[in-house]
Amino acid sequence: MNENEYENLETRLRGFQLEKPDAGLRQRVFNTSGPEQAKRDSSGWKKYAALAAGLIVMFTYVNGEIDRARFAKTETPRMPRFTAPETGSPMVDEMIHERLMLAEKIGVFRRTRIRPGITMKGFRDVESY
Amino acid sequence: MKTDEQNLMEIYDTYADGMYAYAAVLARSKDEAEDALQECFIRLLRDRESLSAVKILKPYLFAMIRNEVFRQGGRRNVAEFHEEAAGTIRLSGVFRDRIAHDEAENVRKAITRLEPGQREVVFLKVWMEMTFAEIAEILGASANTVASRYRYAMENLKKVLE
Repeated sequence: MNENEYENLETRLRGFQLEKPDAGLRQRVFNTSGPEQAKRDSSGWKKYAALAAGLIVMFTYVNGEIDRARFAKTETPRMPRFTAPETGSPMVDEMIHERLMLAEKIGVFRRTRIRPGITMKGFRDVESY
Repeated sequence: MKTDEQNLMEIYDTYADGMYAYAAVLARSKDEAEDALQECFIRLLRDRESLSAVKILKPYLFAMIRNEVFRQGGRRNVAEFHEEAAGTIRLSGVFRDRIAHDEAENVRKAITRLEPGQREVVFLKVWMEMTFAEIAEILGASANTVASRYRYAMENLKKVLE
C-alpha cells in the first residue's frame, strides 16, 4: 500500500462514528449517592462508623438468639419478624444474609427478608423465602 | 479557581468517549466497557494526586482503561486477551440510510476479523489519531512493532473492504 491508499482508507474508516458511553455514566461518576459517594465524601467515615455500630448491635442480637435457640432446645414463644437493612456492601450483606438464613432454619425468626430495593447479586430471590 | 473535581469533569468530557470506545474494543461486553470507564474515573477521584505526576495525559488514561478492562475481565496479561479475541469496535447505531448501515456493518466485521493486537492499533491510530510512539507507550511495545501491526492490519482491511 502506498501513502495515498493509507490516507484514503483511514479517511473512510474515520467516517464512521463511534458509539458513546451511556449519558448517565458521567452523572454516576461525579454526582453519585450511596457507597461510592460515601467513599469520596470527606464526612464518609461518620456514615461508616454509624453503620459499623449498627452492624455490631445486630450481629450480637442475631447471634444471641441463635445460641439461645440452639442450647435452650426450646422454641421462642413468639418468633419475631426481622428485616435486615441494606448496607451497600455486598460482602457485609452476604454475611448478614447467611446469619439470617441460619436463624430462620433454627426457628428464631418466622421469616427473614432483605429490605425491598436491594440490588446486590444473589439477593434477588430472597423474597421467595 | 477550578477544583480537582471540575478538572476531572473536563478530562471526562474530553476523553471519556474515546476511552469507552477503546474499552469496547478490549472488553467482552458493553457493560464491561462502561464499568471499566466508571472505575477509572472513580479511581482518579479517589487518588487525585496521581495525575499531577503524569506528563502526557492521553496515553496515560488509555493505558489505565486498558489495564482496568483486563483486571475486570480477570485477565492477567495481554496474551489472555489475544486468546479470547473478545471485543470489537462499536459504531454509532444511527445511519443515514440502508447503504450507510450496511457499509458500517462491513467495516465492523472486517475489524472484528483482525487479530486483537492489530485491532487495537488500528483503533488507536485511526479513530483516536494517536502517534505510533503514543500507542507504543499504551501497549508497552516498541514503536516499530506497533507500526508493523498497523501496516498488516490496514492491508488486511483493504483486501476485505474492496
